[in-house]
Amino acid sequence: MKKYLYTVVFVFMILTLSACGAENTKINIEELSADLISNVEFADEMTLINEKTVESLYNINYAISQQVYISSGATAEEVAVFELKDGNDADKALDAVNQRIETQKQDFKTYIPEEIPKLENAIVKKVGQYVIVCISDGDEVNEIINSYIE
Amino acid sequence: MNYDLYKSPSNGSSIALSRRRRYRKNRRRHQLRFLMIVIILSLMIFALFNVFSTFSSKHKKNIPVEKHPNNSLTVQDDQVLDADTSESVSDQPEEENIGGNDYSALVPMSETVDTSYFDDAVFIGDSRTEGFMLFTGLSNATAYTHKGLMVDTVFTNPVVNVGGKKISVMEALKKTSFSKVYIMLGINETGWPYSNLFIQKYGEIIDEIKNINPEAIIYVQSILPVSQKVSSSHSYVKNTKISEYNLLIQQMAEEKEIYYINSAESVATTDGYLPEEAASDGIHLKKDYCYKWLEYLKTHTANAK
Repeated sequence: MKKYLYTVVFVFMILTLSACGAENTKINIEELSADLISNVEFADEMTLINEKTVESLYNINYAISQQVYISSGATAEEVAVFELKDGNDADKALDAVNQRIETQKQDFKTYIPEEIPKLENAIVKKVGQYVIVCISDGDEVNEIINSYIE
Repeated sequence: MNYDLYKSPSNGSSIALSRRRRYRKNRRRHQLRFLMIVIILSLMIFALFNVFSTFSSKHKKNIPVEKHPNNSLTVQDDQVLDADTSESVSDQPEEENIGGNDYSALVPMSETVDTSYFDDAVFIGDSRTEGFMLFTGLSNATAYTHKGLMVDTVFTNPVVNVGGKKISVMEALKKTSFSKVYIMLGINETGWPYSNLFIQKYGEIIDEIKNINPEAIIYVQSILPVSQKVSSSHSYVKNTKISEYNLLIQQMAEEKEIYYINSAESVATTDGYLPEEAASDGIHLKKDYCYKWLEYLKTHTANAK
C-alpha cells in the first residue's frame, strides 16, 4: 500500500513540476525577433512581413502570433518566431518550418548555391508552444535565444 | 451447555476484530494525512515556481536590446507591410493619358486604381517579382513566381504548388481564373547567347496565355535595371543587355497587341541604373522600391476609367 502511495505521489510531483516547465515558458516574440535582427549579422536588409504573407511562405495559419523577417531575395536569411496554442500545434509548426527550409534549399541550390550553408546550419528550436527559426551566418543566435528561454 | 466456554472464544475474537478495525482506521487516517501534506507541498512548489518564473520574465523584459553598431537593419513594428497603407510616390513622371488601347505605345500614366484592381490578376516572374509580392503584401493577387524563373522554364519547371502537387506556371495558369496577367521575365536570361531565342520563347508564353484566356489583359513589363556596380562587375547581368531585351519586349508587345509597361522607369535613376540604396545586392529590390514599383503599376493601367 505504502509503495503504491509513494508511486502515486512521485508521479503527481513529476507532473506538477513538468507543468511548471516548457509549456509554461513565456517568450516575448517581438523582443526576441528584434534582438536577433539587431544583434546577429545579416548580409541583407531584413524586412518584417505581414500575417498573410507568412501564411503563404510557411503554410502556418494557426499561430496565435508570429514575427517573420525575410531577405529581399539576395540571400536565404530569415528570422521567424511563432507562438502556438500548445505543444501539439508547435510540433505541427515545426514540421512546416522544416518543410519551408527544405523548399528554400531546393530553390537556392541552383539559384545562389553560396546560400546553402546558411540553410544547412539553420537554427530551429521548439520551446514549449514556441517555434524559433534563424537562418544566418551568425554565431550569437543560440546565445540570444537561450537568454529568452532559460 | 457451558455458556462461558462457548462465549469466551467469541469475546476474544471480537476484541481482536475491533483492534484490527481501529488499527485500519488509524492507518487510513495517517495515509490520508500524508497524502494531504504531499498535495499541499506540491501546490506550494508549483506556486513558488510560478512566482519565480514571473519574476525572472519581468527581469528579462527590463534587459535593453542593444543595437549592433555596424548593422543598418530597420526593424520597427510599424514596418509591417500593407499594400493599402503605402504612400503614393510623388516623383512619377507626368504623362498624358493617350488612351489605354494603343499597343504601339507604353501604357501611359492613368488614374490611380485601387489595390482591388489586382484581385483578378496573376503575376508571373522571377525572384524580383517574388520579392515584390512578398514585400507589398499584395495577397489579393495570384503570384506564380520563382527564383531563377525564365521564359523557357515557365513551361517546364514544376514550381507552383497546386493541391499539394507541383506543376509548371503555364499548367497552373490553365487551372486559374484570371482577367489580367503581369509578366516580368528576362534578367536570368541575360546570359543567353541569342537574344532572338529569348524573345521567341517570350512570344510563346503570350500565345499560350491568349489560348488559355483570349479576353485577358496581358501586361509585359520592362526588365528592371541593375545597379551600376553590378552592371560593371557581373559576368553577364549588364544594363546594356537589359535595354536590348526591353526593346525586343516592347516590339513583341506591339506585334502581339498586348500592353507594355515601362516599370523600370519607377525605380531607375536618370542614367538608367538601379540606385545603390534600392537593393543590397544591386538586383533584388528592398521594400521601399517595391512600393514605388507597385505605385507605378497602380497608375499605369490599360483600362482605367
